Amino acid sequence: MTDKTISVYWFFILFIVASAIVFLVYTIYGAPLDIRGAEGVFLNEKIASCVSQGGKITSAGKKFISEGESSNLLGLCHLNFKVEPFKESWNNDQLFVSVVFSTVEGSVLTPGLPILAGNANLKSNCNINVLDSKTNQFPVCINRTMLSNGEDGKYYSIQIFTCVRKTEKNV
Amino acid sequence: MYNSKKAQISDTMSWIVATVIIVLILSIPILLVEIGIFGKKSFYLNRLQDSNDLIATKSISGYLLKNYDAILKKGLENKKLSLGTEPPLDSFLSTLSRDKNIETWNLIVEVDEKRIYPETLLSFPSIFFHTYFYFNEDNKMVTFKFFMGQKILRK
Repeated sequence: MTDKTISVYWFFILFIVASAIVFLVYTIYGAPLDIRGAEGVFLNEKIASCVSQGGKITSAGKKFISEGESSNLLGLCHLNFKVEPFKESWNNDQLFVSVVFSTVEGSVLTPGLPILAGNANLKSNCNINVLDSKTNQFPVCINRTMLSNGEDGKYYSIQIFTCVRKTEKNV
Repeated sequence: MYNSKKAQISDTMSWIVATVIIVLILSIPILLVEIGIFGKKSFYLNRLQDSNDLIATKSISGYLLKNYDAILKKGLENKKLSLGTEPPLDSFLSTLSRDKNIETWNLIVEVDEKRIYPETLLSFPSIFFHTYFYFNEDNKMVTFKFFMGQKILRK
């Protein structure tokens, strides 16, 4: 092997090592993962499982329907909105949930009063991210609707709206 | 003394220079990240969220529980699906989409592996997620196949 060949070989090795270093640094120190969407989906699914199982309204769901807006959403669904102490100003106000049970008769929906938990102010800033996707400074909200069967043949459309702020940690 | 240590000094100098070069190489990607050359790492999370849809599956369970008889009553007799469901099938399928601009849901109903609905299969976006429900009706296997396709694949 000539000196020239060895020199090319060393440059090749140097390139591989440098690429590996760039990749590792990007993986570890890269821009923070914005997991608010995933967190919103998980919260949404947790509430969905709390209110409906096997296509039927659960006992917790029945309480929501009978007690209406005065229901204890967090208690019945075994949730708490305590958030990690990332910033002093957070003060457990980074999440919001709204659940609306609407009765379905034909194609007519009759919505009940919303059952709320968390910081209701987050709702007004939702979906602004769509307009300004570069900064993503606003809460991420997930809105899903599902159908479920109640007692006495009643049929319900359940709207579950979840909102996650945690901007400082994810953006 | 200097003359007798030439080899060691040369070796040390090489390592000092090598260390400086290594530090420079390491700092380049850190600086690139600091400047913001790299974008957000949201790709994997989107895939994670797309891999299943619990709420759609729950909603389908509720819909089938309510409409199973209505859907199949005439369907099994006439080999044709009755669409008198509550809510109508089309509007129900549209409620399953997380983003109506991207996602489309569709249903195929089979009895003993023979399709009874729809009569003709229309073109459908690439299938991204499906959930099947199986029923036994008069010793016939009834399968409800719900498909979700994405018109534009999420990044």
